[in-house]
Amino acid sequence: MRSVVLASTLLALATLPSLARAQPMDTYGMGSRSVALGGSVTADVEDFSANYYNPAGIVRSGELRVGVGWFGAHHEMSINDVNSNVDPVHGVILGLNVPGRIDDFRFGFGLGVHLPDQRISRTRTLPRRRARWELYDNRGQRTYLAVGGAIQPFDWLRIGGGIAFLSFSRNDLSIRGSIDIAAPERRSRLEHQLLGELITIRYPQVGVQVQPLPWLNFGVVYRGEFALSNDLTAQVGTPDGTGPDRTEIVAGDIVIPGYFDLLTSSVNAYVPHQISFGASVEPIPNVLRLSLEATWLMWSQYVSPIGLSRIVLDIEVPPELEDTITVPDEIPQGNPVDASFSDRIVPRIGVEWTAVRNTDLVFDLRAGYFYENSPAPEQTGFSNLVDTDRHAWSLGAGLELLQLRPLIPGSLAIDVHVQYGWLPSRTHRKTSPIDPVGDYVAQGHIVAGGANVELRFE
Amino acid sequence: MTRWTRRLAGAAALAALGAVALTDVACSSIGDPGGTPDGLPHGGTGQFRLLESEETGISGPLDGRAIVLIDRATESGMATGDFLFYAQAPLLEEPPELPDDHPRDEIFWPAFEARRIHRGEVREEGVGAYDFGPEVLAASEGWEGGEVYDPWVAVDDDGTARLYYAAAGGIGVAEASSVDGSFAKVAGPVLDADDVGGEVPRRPSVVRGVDGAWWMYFSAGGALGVARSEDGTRFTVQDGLRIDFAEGEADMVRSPEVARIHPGAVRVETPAERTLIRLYFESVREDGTHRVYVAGSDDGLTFERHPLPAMEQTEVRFPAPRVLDPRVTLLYASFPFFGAGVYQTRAITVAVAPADESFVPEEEEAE
Repeated sequence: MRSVVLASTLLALATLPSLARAQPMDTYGMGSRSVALGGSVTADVEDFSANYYNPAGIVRSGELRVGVGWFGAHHEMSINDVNSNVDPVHGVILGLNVPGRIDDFRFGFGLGVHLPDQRISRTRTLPRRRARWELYDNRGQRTYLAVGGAIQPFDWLRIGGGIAFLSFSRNDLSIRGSIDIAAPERRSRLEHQLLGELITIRYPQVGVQVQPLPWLNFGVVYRGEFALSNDLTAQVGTPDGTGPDRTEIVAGDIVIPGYFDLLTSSVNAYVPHQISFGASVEPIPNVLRLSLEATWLMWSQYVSPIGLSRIVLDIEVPPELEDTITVPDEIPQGNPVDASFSDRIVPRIGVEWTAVRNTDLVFDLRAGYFYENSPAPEQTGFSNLVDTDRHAWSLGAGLELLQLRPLIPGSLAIDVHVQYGWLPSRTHRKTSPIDPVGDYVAQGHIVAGGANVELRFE
Repeated sequence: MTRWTRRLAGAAALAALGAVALTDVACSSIGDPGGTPDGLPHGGTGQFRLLESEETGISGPLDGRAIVLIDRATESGMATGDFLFYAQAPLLEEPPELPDDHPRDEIFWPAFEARRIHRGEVREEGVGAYDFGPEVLAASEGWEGGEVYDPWVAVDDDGTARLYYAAAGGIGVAEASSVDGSFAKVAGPVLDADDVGGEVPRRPSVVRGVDGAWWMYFSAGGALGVARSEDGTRFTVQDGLRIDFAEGEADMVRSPEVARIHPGAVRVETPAERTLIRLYFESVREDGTHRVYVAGSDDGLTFERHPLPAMEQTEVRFPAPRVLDPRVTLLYASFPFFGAGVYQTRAITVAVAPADESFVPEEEEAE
């Protein structure tokens, strides 16, 4: 019976439509309680943030939980003391844990959403050499929507899984017609056709929670890798200058066939394989909770966003127009550049102290910290994938109102958090003394905060 | 359920509704492109963009003019501090006739008086532009052949300014207590044809080197050279100046290079606390074009050359860089310009890199 339920659950998850794109949660976390604890919650998370941190936690409480809140992060990143204009990330978070039971067998389904209130999703390709905050510039500009399911085969064991979906874009731009170089704005006749496709890809996440003793928890979670491909092709004219799609440059009576072909292919918003191991203990049951966690992120498999670019420009200028029309002698072609990132292990710690607990309410104070060493090497060559280490400290509080009957057959939890991230300065020295970008120093700060409410139905 | 818990629960419900309302806002803002990084680092390689007249404050037919000299010829200049040093010559009252075969972009010097060096002061309005200034140096020594040109000023730590210049017999030096003081000749020629394999050197460009000594880059016989001095007046030619493309890079201009001349050097302190020398120079091509390139070095002798020209224009001469800050470089250079009747002259212009750096006054940008 249990295997049938599990198989049904996984089948249902696998056939869901596209729901999730990218992972702003990796950077900012999800849910005020979990963020306040430094993300060190894999071992015992049970609120709606379990949909991100560990889907095994969906089944943990046995309660129907509905949460909603708001989250925001402000970046102050600079390169050579000039603000890098990294956009803020803010939006709504939503979550749902739905429990179920067949005899003694418990299971649950969950849903977790981060919906930015600026844009649903942004994909962009920057000039190949342009310095960009690789882990912050665009990665947070995504909608995150994950679904999961979990079972509890034994009282001490919970197993969960989920499948997240992403989309990548493929664009084709075709242009045909004639360009009059004497009056290009008025007498040129051009038609263009743009075809853009968003194509879905999937990645899995699975997790386990083990609770050998009431005051001791262990957890492990795996999140899969994904890469958002961004392909663009643009074609002006035809290679042989004939056919209905040909393009011509017109100068008086002279007609010059022209052909331009552009292909760029790059990767956006790569998220690596990651495995988190966590443990939590309650040395003073129901009063003090401590947790430790380590997340292994396999950044060494990072696919560089500096991808392929191919340009073909074919214009045979007649001798009488050589002074008027200049065709470049040679057009540089772009080859993918290896990012050479390294794996990293992120340690996390969280402390939760229950200051008040009575029949009406529970009031918790929380603190957390994590340290991310940068996976990016010093940018000594062509690429400028800027990153530094990050130290993040967080504080939070939670209030759970227990006596809400007859209004609600359960409780209401209100959680808030603030987080400060410090990105210490990092110097990048170029090997070449004539590098077009040159040496630079990067540093920054991130201030984040949020609040959410969760209804917990018994 | 107590009264205050009901109120708190009500407030939480309102907050939740507000959050859901924000979800609707999100749907209406799809497509906002958001911010893009600006103020990005730049290594001074270009492409350089000629400043616009709104930026320099000098209007006219040629963008980027750094100084207005309508009735005289000028060829090269360099900027330091608040001053532009340049050589110029007025048109003769009865100039000889321009030969039919005179090259199109070359100044016909026989039509002008002897060149002298002037010092223009920065204009109050605009960026990178200067007013016409008084003469600060004229030919007086026999070896100078009657005129002086190609000025380059280097300022010592104590404020002493040395004006290096070229003349018929080589390179000379004048000195002043400050860059706005009176210059008096102290040595000359400090470098002549005997020092440089029989070719008369010109266009001195002097910077404090990575080793703390004074390094003079010059051109002689279609090639670049370098000399070193501890005191700024006695120079010794250095062998081993190399300017090569990096491994795997190649010249991207089809017409072969036939000469490298007229260097303009600058010492750069990078944000990584590294000292580099950037050397801008003219690359003369077989097709007659003059393009500006830049090379970089961390020792002043071995340079890596950037594969692309620093400016898109193909008739650019006498590049003279001025680093405003670690990111922004101004490049003074000479462009063809008809200013003295029918006679070809050249104008000193100023360009900027990175090209997206704008000096347009804010009120004009707002319009």
